[in-house]
This record gives sequence, structure tokens and C-alpha cells, in this order.
Amino acid sequence: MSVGRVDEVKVETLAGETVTVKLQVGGVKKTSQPAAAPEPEPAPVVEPEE
Amino acid sequence: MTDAAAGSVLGDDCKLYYSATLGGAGTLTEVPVVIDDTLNSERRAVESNCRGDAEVGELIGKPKHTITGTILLKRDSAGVGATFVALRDAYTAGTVLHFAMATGDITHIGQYVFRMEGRLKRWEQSQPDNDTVKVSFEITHAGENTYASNFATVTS
Repeated sequence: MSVGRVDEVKVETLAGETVTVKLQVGGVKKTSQPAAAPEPEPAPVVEPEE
Repeated sequence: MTDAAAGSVLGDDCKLYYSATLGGAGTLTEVPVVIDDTLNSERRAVESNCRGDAEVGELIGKPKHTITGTILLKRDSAGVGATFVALRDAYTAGTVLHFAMATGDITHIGQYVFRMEGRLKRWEQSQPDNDTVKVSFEITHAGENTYASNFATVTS
């Protein structure tokens, strides 16, 4: 797990002042770990034909 | 920078910003006097029914976001609401803009922000007698735009 990215954004206030703010995007994001393999489905029960 | 005040957030304290520069690199400008701005978000879904009602499945996809709200027209000292005109022109031209929806002043630490890029799909301007001119609007994602909508928190 790693911390999400931080964006710097400039904002012009209604008073005309320009302020730079930092935005933490998201919280945590998944790393490039391989996805867990799905559990194998049980083999179907085949009833013998009469 | 100032910390956002703790406690419940009143909707009339929330703010909407926009920038004509895409990608998040542009300077955000506050859209003055926006009320009832709403983030509408729902994941795309498709239903499949392969083998009868007992086998109905729903495939859930990525979220689809839109922003709706109402702008109250406020003329500035020059006699024209500059932001009002800029957004109206963007609507008529179909221009894609960058939007940021914040739970308060975006320059305050701790505010929660949603950002997306899209165009104004709806512009309903009502001019009731003896009341404020209002514009009900809807912002939708533009298919050709690749900016990934995101949630963020102001940290500094």
C-alpha cells in the first residue's frame, strides 16, 4: 500500500489573491500486487445416466 | 493556512470553482453564489438474465459523476457578472472546463474536494419577478476528456 498523489492547485480568491494549496488525492491506493487467484470451483457432480 | 472549522458542514458554506485550463494545472476561480450544488454519482451497471429470473446478475462498472446546482446571478462592479458570462459562453460553445467542488473555502486545510472535467449540459435561466435571477445547471463528463475525476483533501 502507498499514499496517493499530492496535487498543487492555484486558487484565485474573490479578493484577487492567488493561493497555492496542496490536495491529497484519495487516501491509499493498491500497489501492483498481483490479484489473488480465484478459488477453484468444485467439480460438477455428474450423475450417471440410466 | 487556516484550518477548516471542525463540526457539521453547512451547505451554504460550500463552494464551486472552475478553470478553463484542463488537467488540474490551471488557476481555480470561485463561482460566486452557487447554491444547492450536488455531486451525483452512481456506478454504471448492466443487468444480465441468462437463465431465468433466478439467475439475474448485475455487472457494476466505474462511477459516473455529474454536478448539478444553481447559480444566483450577481453583477460585479463592471456591470456584468464575469463568471456568469464565462460559464454561459462555455455552455453555448460546448467548452470543457475543470471543476472543483469543495466543502468550504478550498484554501482551508481539511476541506474535502471533488474534481472533475466536463461541459455544461444544461443551462436553465429563470428570471422570476421580484426575485434573483437563477441558473440551474448540470455538468457532465465529456467523452473525449481523459482527466480522472477524483476526491481529495486539502492538506496545506
